[in-house]
Amino acid sequence: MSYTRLGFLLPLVLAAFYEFMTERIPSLAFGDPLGARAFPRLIVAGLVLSAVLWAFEDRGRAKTSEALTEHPEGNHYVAALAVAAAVLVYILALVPLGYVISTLVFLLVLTSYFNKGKWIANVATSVMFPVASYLLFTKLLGVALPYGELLPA
Amino acid sequence: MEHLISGFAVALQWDNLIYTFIGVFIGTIVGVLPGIGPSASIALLVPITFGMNPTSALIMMSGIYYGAMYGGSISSILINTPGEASSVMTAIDGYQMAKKGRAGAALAVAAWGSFIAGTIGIVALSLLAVPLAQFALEFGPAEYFLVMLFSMAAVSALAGDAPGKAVFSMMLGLAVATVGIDMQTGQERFTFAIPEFQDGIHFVAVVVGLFAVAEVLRGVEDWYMGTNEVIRIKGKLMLTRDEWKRSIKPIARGGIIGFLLGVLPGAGTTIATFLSYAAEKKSSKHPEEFGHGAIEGVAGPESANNAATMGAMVPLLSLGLPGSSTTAVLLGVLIMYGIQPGPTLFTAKPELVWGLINSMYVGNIMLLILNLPLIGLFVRLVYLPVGLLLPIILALSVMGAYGLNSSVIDLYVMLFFGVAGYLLEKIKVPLGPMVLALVLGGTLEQSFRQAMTISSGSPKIFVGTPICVVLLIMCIGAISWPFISKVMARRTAASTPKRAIENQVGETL
Repeated sequence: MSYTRLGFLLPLVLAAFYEFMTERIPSLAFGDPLGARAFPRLIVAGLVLSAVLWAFEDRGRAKTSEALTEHPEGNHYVAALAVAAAVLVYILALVPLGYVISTLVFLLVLTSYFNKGKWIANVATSVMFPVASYLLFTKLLGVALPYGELLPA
Repeated sequence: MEHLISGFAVALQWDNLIYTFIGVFIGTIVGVLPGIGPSASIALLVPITFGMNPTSALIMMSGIYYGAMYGGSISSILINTPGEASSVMTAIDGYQMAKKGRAGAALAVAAWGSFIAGTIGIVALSLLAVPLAQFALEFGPAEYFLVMLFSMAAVSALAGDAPGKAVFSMMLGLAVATVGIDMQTGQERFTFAIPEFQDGIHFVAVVVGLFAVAEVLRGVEDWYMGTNEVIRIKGKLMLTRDEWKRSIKPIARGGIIGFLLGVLPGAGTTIATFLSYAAEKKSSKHPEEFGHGAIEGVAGPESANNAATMGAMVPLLSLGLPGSSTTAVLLGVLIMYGIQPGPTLFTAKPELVWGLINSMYVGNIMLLILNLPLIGLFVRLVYLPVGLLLPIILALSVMGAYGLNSSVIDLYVMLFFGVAGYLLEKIKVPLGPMVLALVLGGTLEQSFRQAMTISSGSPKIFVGTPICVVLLIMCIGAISWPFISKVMARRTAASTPKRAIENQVGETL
């Protein structure tokens, strides 16, 4: 059985978790007669409804096998998730190293991989983009970007 | 009439002219570039527009929305890679025209079609928005709850052939909207003891995650698969008399189809282009030319997508109701500025509404100039290496999401929704309903609770007036539409096998 056919379990799991969290909201005896739990309970009902609809859709689709076949060349999950991991490291480094240095390193690493062999363009982009955007945003547009806690003031 | 004239006075102020230009310029760029669309671009600009006059900010952000429709045609025609979903149909005949050495004519008809249909759309917007707003003045909380529910149901119904997944996406958006302090009781909900979540999860971080980060992650996959050959522009950016003759009717039809579809919640620009393409193919004396470089196949859809953006502004401005993810982001921006779009907006802030509407005339003229004599500037973007572009979009996303509140939590939210959006699209869950529900969630809950308080807890209030009954029927109709259409299609297919084959061909267009 394909894992995609178990997709309808996702809204059910989320509905259970959301309902658990909804019940933890304390109920008040005054104020709004419906209370803060009423709307989240409707959402739980909606999630369960979506799971039922999803299960029926997949059942209908299972009859036509081609709907479940995926493009083999389109499965580069690992590369995409590795990029997501790089963004996580970038976020972690942003405040301690500052916007300019962390962005420079982030861009240099990614462009070296995705734009292989073009060192001049990669280095120029990685240096110019963070410096120019930092000056533009902080000095001209008044948007605060991290300077870097580890850098000398 | 008085407001219309004063709107021109606002739109023609030199600073608003500059903001219109910046908006349409950025819009054209994001339309050309893969990996970033109008929703993410508007969200990324929010930190910059803080402190700006709301009218100017909205003029600029709307410019991005309709400007992206112009830009989308460039990459569709020259590299067969639509920058936006609304340019997918343009690629079919536009790329074929370019391969035959008629890229100049394809780009010219796209620009002229967008301009003419866009102008038709603005005129219709000016005429329709006020009566709709006046009608909506009669709405109470129950009517508002139902009209928002209808909007979300329609978006979910038209999001694809999987309404269950669309409803799931909508519920996820509503669930995210409930995070924070409940405004009516003051109780904390779903904050997980994170102080930053007390004000709710910021929609900008979610939108940037869903529409920029997730898009880049998909772009990484495309990078592995390689890209199409880029075709150089050949021929003048002008249409011959015969090409004009063949294009003018598709442009007019595309303008009307696009505007009407744009007004309807959920249908939006993409479906408008599909219907326009189908209409042109059906009415053509040479349907066999479609798919092989028929100019009507570019003129119709390109006109439709531009007119649809104008149509989408009708429910947004007069009812406060977005019909797509981009208009949902625009609504979120308005709410952030403390402006509640809806029927009272036309009387409370006429300079904003009419300034915005009239800036679109100016914006369309600017776009025509940008997309005809200055098109060479944007064509260069098509040659940008994707390997450089994707990392830059990620850095821009981090900068935009952080710049809003100077909060690292917003960055984690952005990344979470980026990865979630990427994975959800892998299992064919549409993301549009989630953004719509996230932006409307707060108002939806408020209207629901107000209505229930008025009726002392009786749900009969939702069938208490004729408007409520009609809206309720529309909601039920929208929710059941995917199932009804499937049953109808099956019956038709069973009775006429030939038509079934034709339907299959139509679906694969």
